[in-house]
Amino acid sequence: MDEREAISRLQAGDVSGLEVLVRQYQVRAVRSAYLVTRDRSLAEDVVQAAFVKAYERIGQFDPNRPFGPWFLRSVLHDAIKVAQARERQRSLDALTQDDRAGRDGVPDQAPGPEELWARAETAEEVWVALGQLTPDQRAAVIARYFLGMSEAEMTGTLACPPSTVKWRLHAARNRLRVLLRPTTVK
Amino acid sequence: MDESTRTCAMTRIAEEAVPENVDLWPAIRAQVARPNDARPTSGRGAPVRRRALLGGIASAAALALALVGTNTWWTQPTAVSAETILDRAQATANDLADIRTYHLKMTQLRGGTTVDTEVWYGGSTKQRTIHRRVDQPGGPAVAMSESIFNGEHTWIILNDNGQTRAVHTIGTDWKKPGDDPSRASSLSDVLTRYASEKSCLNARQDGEATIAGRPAHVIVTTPKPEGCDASKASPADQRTKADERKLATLGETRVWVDKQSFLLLKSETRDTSGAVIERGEVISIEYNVNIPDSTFTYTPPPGVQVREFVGASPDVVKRALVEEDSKDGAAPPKQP
Repeated sequence: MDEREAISRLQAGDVSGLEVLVRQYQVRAVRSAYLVTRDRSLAEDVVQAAFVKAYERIGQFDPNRPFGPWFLRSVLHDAIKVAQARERQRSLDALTQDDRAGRDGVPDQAPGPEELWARAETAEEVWVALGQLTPDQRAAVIARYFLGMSEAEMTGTLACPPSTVKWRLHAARNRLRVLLRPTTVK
Repeated sequence: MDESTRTCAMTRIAEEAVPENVDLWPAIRAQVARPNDARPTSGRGAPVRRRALLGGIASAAALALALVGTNTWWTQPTAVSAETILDRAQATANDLADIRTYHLKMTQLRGGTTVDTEVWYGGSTKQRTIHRRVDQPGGPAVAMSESIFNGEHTWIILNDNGQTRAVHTIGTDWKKPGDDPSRASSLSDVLTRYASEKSCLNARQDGEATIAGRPAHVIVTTPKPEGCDASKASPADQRTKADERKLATLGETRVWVDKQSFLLLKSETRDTSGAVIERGEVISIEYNVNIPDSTFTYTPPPGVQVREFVGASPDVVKRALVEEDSKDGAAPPKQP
């Protein structure tokens, strides 16, 4: 069953169509939500709720359009809200810990023989740096670089005008640039 | 660091945190199977936690429903709340037969493992329970655990891989496994335990049956479509999200309760697809049997290692045993 048939079935009330969509998009969706929320359980909850919401609103969906962007928009939108709510509750300890980790950057051009290790450090660097962004900046980076969306697609996904998308991306890039700047090893 | 490097790093982070085998479909299927107006619509987390709590209380509900009263008010198999059932049970509690002791044998199937259990109930302070894990019902035990309660003294005996260990506690307030047929305290205990959860289930009578030669009421409990109030759940029900996801697929629990004693004779839990995920059934039960005092005592055989605890809480005992297990690599004992 392809995506279009799955959607047709779902719109006709056949839940088997939803299973096809879940199987097709769940991993990408949870990964995206995870990058925004930074919590796998939270990410799975967001995606689970997004699928249920999609099921409830599938009647409004135009079957001639791809399901993925429509669905991932919902996931990112909900992930931002969840992450924002959680960040408001973050303890001072957690903030302090993240801040300390953020300063522990290492040069990103490691020697060849240590490539694997260096990659791990790079991933860690990116992870820490992403944590320093606001949830909506993080979502902008993830939409652009992880999901490969164009700025036009992001306009729809992030539910804000092009100028706001551009500004968020610009702010996020600048912030990342500072956070990921190679540091001098003392 | 250029953008492609960042993208690769993000991909790697996401792939490591969320493997390909993530499967949300069972939980989603369970949720969409509910009526529209019963589906939680509030913020994230609520659906999962609420559904999980329903699953988590299945056993408690089965236990509570084992104490249900007579069936004169159940002329039709209509849905009534578990709360109502328990209230009626309490009202009829005084009419119950006087059962002071019992001896039962049962077999349980859980997660592909069969456990044969034997219980001697000699009163609220005297109980002995033996669990034998077997490859097939009635077969030889591959592992065994035993708990003996006698007043302040409790013995926990574990036999795994041919090695026997024993724990002796004095004054530890263990939760005892045997259902108390004397009602007065047990119903209160069950009600207390159930009080925070009783709004989570619907329950209805579904006929009668005979289990182990005993006439029984058949009761079906199902999660309330609207879920339950997580804020009322006891701390014991604040399970991990992994547990919650497993429990999200709970369909129904069907219990058979003795019409005379209201003890649980059989329980069967199915997931939303109808597959049995847990089953336990009493094979034989005798009431008011004469149980010799020697049943509730234990003398460790020579060579068996015994750990003694005096006045320790169950948590302290368990922690000590887990630490000991982590040193010698043995499996931790279960709470009796």
